Amino acid sequence: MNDLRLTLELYRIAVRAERQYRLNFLLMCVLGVVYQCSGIATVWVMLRTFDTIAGWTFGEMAFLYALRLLAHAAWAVPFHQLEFMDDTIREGRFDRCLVRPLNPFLQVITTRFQMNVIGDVLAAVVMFVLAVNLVSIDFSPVHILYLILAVIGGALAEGAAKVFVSSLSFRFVQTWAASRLADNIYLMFGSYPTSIFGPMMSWALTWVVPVAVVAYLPAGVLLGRTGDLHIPGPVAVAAPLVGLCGFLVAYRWWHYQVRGYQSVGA
Amino acid sequence: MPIEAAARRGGPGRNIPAYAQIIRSRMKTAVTYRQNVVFTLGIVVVQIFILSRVWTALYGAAGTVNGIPLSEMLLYLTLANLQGWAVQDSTVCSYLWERIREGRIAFDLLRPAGFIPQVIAQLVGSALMMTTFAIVALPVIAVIGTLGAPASLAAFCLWLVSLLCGIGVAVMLNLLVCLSAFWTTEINGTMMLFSLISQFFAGVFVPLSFFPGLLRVVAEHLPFQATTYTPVAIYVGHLEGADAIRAIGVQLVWIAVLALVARLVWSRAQHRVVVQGG
Repeated sequence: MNDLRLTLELYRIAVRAERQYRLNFLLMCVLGVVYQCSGIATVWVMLRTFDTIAGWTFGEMAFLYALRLLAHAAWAVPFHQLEFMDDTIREGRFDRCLVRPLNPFLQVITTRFQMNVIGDVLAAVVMFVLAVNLVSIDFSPVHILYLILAVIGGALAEGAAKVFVSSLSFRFVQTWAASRLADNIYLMFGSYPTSIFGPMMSWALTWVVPVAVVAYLPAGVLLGRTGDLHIPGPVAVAAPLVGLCGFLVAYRWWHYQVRGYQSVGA
Repeated sequence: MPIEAAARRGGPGRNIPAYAQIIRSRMKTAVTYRQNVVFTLGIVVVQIFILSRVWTALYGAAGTVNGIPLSEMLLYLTLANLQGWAVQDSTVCSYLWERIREGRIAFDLLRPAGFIPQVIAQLVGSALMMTTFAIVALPVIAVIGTLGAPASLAAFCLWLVSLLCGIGVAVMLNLLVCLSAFWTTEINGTMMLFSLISQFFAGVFVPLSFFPGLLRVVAEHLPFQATTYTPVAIYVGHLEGADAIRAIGVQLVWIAVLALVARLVWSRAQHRVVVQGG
């Protein structure tokens, strides 16, 4: 409990530091919104000429996209600092995290606060409200509960990959390239029905790099499209669980890799 | 060497050896940081793969949509993404922004060669090297995406001209983004926004001929289509004959207009340079 209190306090300080630069704050928020909405703009233009993408209408695509954005935002708000792990290590700031009496993982994620994640949240919420109006889902309490679990599971699934990439920085000097690649894989593959990439890729995108579990599988379940998913319906329902397992494995791996850390001696 | 002779004589060509040197250095820099190039190229390869699959799914059973057969569409997407990547190197702007921030820009301003030509030389060097990397990567691209011959011999010749003009427009646009560094404290956000918007309106994800109504009118009046859409559409035979020549004319007009804008922006930017300490 003390750890949680400390973590929240560190977040508050990080946000305050960032609010000093107002124009930058605004620019980064706008960037977050434009960045996250550019993908759906492309889908919208495509579906002006065509009716569906592999049977998914624009409304359904928007819902899939919104679900991915929600999961991404749910990951990014608390954890996005992991992306800058390699800077922290290269500049010798990780030494501090090891001597302080708080889990180093929690210290890393509270170092700074990048304002563009606020844009990510805004984009996610607006997209979701718009998308829900385009599809016909009757939200029963069970649906809402599943939606919440799906967002958390999706956040953890994206987190699994990000935590894994950040653990590489204990061994390699620069990992921003790998981190950007992971980001792009989740952004680009995650925004379309996984089945269009063929059976091999679909398998890899579900069990090796858990992209499909972020939005495609839960969206399929919520939209009642379990018939045309690439895995059986009951397995698709368990998608949030896959995210959780992936994250736990990656998190254990991260702590295991801390042992390989060698200070740069700054 | 006629160039060196010109340099000794003075006159308008006197700085040409300096520009050639800047171009060479920038090309060497790109080679030094090749792991970054390989990585951004990796993202483009993934993008080509995804777009090819998405468009194949969109076409479904339809053989031809809007007068474009699927095979031509896949060739268009592959080339547009590759070319769009080659003219979109952000390292020059980051480099310049750092020099402005740290005050080292003063040395660039003191040099006998003009500042704007120096930046243009940097951008040309980067575009040349990126194009070379793109050519080297062609075997990989052929496996992931779709490569193919140009529509005709005429299309090929016009494409070469249009490609050069496209690089010219892209260099001018990048120059403007670089100059924005004189006003902002942050350049990464600007560059990312620019890259997203320019890719979208350059027709990298969806060719301009698929844009609906008003959006198409907007896209046609923006300079971004002149960087990528025009040359690639000529290559695949979507723009032919008089249309192709008119499109190249539009590219040339954009180079002139953007050069004029850059001149204006630069005359204002000069007054903003404050070198701290030094």
